[in-house]
Amino acid sequence: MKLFTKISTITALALSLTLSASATQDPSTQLVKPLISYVSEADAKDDVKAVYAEIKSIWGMVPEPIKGLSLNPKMLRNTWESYKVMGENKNFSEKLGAMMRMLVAEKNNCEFCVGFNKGMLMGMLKVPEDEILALQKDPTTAKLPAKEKAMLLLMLKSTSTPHDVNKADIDGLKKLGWSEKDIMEGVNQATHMVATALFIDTFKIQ
Amino acid sequence: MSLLTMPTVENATGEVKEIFDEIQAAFGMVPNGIRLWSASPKALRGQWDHIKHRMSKDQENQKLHTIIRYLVSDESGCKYCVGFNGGMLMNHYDVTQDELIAMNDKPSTAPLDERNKALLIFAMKAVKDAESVTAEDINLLKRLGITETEMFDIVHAASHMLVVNTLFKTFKVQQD
Repeated sequence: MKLFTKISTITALALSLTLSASATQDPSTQLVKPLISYVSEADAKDDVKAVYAEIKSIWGMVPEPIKGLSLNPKMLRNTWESYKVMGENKNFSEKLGAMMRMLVAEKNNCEFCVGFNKGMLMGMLKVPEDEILALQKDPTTAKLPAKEKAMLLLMLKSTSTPHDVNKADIDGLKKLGWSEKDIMEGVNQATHMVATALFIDTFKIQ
Repeated sequence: MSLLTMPTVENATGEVKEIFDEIQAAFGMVPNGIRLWSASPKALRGQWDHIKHRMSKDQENQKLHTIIRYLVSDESGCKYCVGFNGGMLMNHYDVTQDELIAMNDKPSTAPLDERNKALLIFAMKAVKDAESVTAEDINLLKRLGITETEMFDIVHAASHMLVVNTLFKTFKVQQD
């Protein structure tokens, strides 16, 4: 949980970077009103309030897409618990997680998620913009240790061409020290990013 | 053969065994599609909680969600999930093979009442092109008396099925 907690100090910065970038974009990408209403922090009760409090204690704020899940408190809790699985796995660095989320979101046309994670990479993790641009063009340029880069590439492969993932890919990760638990949790988190992008795009949550 | 090791009911231990026992009690078996998650007991717990939540709903809602899982799986090319959910529709909900084939081409032919059919069409629109969903789609559902929570639930279920499909395709889950 401590690794996860580090995100808190900079999440607000990432958000502000995202929102300020949106303000200067063309009208088609400017903020629009969400198509559904959801529970604000002030109105949260029972388990929604408990989940919000937990998220806030870790991230420093509750992102709007997560508030969007509050229409069904059980699914809010279920989704938050799934996010925590990778957050609590100390084998995944914050940089690897943010790179994966940005690249999967880009592939799935989720501008909010791209901006949010790009802001996190630049603000929290001090990744230079030219490095991010290179990463967006070619993920193999990711400046990560070989072990983490291999996991990043598998996460991207599983979300774009899952049928092409083969035994050699899994064996390669194991040779680098990743366990089956890590591989399952990494790919699971990457696929959740696809689901999040779809949810955000459907209901225009920003 | 799956690319990840999947314990059996007999050799599972700890939290995985506890969850397998619950699943066995509910289904009479532990499908490969659930055994896959056992590499991460916490992820397995999350997936089983998700399934239990869906199973707690009434029969018509469960039928709608089974159709959603079937159509999303067909759209994303997950043969295991198409077979599993297609089988459930035929065996538990008396959907015919002709009806399954027809709804693959045209979800509006699904044997559902007007409200559930509208939710199905909405969810499939989100899966195929989420950006194209507009306020008019939402208003159309509201005119049918459908709540925002119901809209949320169906899109959440459809998007969760994409998670399941991708995991199964990645790790090559085999038919039971």
